[in-house]
Amino acid sequence: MSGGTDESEVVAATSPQQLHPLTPIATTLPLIAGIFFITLVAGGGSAWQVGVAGIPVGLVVCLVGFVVLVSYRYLLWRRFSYWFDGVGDLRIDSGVLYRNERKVQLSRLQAVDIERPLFARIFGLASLKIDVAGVGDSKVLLAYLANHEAIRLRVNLLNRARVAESGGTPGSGDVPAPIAETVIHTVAPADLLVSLILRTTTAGLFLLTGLIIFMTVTTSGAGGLLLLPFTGGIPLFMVVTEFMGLYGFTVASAHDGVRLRYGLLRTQAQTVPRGRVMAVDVIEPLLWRRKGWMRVRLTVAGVAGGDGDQQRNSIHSILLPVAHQDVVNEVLAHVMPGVEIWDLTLTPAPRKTRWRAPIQWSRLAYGFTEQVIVCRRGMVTRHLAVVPYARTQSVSIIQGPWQRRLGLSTMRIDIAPGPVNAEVLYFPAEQVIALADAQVERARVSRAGDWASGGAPD
Amino acid sequence: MSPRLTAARRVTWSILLVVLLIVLIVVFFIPDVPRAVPGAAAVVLVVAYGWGLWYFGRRTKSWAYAERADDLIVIRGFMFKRLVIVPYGRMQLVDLAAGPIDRAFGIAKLQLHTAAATSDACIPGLVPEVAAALRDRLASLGEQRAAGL
Repeated sequence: MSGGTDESEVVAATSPQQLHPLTPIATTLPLIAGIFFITLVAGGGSAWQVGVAGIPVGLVVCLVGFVVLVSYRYLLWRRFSYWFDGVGDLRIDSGVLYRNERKVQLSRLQAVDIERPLFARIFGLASLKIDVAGVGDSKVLLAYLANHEAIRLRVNLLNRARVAESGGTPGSGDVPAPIAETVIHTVAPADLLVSLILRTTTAGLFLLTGLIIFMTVTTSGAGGLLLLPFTGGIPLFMVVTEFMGLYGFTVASAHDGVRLRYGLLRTQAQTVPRGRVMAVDVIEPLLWRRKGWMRVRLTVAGVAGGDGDQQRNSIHSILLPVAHQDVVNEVLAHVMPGVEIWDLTLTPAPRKTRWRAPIQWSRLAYGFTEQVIVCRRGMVTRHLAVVPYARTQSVSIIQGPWQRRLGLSTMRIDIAPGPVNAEVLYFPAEQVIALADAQVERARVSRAGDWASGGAPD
Repeated sequence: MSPRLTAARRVTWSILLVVLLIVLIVVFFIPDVPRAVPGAAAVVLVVAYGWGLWYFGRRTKSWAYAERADDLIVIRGFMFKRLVIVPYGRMQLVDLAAGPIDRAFGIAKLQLHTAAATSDACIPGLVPEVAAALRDRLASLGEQRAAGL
């Protein structure tokens, strides 16, 4: 990071710059590796017929493909340039046949993430993903830059964005503070691996696998073995993919929120901007409780990583894959400042709820703080959903026939799509109506508070 | 809600019945199929049809909405009851839709959208003028109190 940023330097226009010269090779190599692998497999299979001549042919195909692709990528690289225009925009010109000129309004910048795919890492390169508030194609990818250049450019972008946002004109003296990140927590790989194995479904399937093997050995009926790929393979696959995806999970605090970094083969960095967190869910699977572990997932408006159901199961919605309560508290303090969720007095569901939810009824509860509502549910896997009042989109009351017989109903707080379900399940109907009314009122008051601090008119 | 909604739904239901009955009549005259099969199906169909007529009547009656100072309340359903409270400031989009049968009966459906996919608030069976007026009112209230996310 270049120290001593001068104010004019922060907002000044720059001359067009190019991506790293190794970009054509770094983007082509993964493809060629794939092609090479396929020719090896295909060539290996047909080598008996074609003879040894097959392998050189495969190599030649790869080489020609490599040259063609690299030349094309070279042209793309030649025509790709980016610069700051000095009035608060990042400009990008690209395209060989069709020229494409993009203007990225830095005042609407949401996040700048650094990604380092495997092949790029070999060359010491990184890509920069720039996310701008807006509908549709609002993401810009700069691939690839030298590592240090990516870091420098990211800081530069964030600084310029801050100046643009505060309405500063070039040279207005609004010098942003240097951006520092402090690591809050890093998940140990061993903990991650053990925690993934101990998740309820995974552990259950592994247990089933063991049982099938045991039965097969003792009864010598091999039919059950057909199930092994499913009972053993699926959880194994899940554990391996999640382990590689979440390896080295690091949470750091930055000026604009919390930064997450994770990944074994593909390092990803993601920013959770403060104030855009819609809800969090603290999850405690059965077998994690002895260790005192929990997982935290979150719903963020408009975050990269797909929509709706896709995001529901994606690792992009994980704030902490596994951690103890004190770490959870520390991280939560960064995304929802001033919210204390553990020492709340929760209102439990009445005894009659067990006729509707015989297992989890004693865990069902809700509670309030000044800023959030907390909904607890789940017996085997415990969930604690936390939603700030201001993030309430609407409030629904739902009552099925059986609930009506029992005089119960359910309140759901409708929030932006994501992995968190905020539901107050199976409470007495009158209580739920009062609760919904209170929730709407709290949401209104807390939104009004948002306006007061944000300066927007009522 | 306009009683015309019940009529419109019953007409849609009747059209479905007629189509299925035609299918059954065709099946009835296929030589290899035992006559009892389409006969039994016809009985089931008629019972289901009767139930449907009753169901749409009940369901339409269960629908209600109320405009309050800061939010809109929509109630619906009689087996599974739902009540949704949508603050005006959270409405992102107010749609007005009418299919061909709805149009023939002179009714329209108002659909509200918030940033949450789960806030399922729609009001069917409105007289078009009422629906348009309500939409304009809601849209302007929504704009006045827009609160982002």
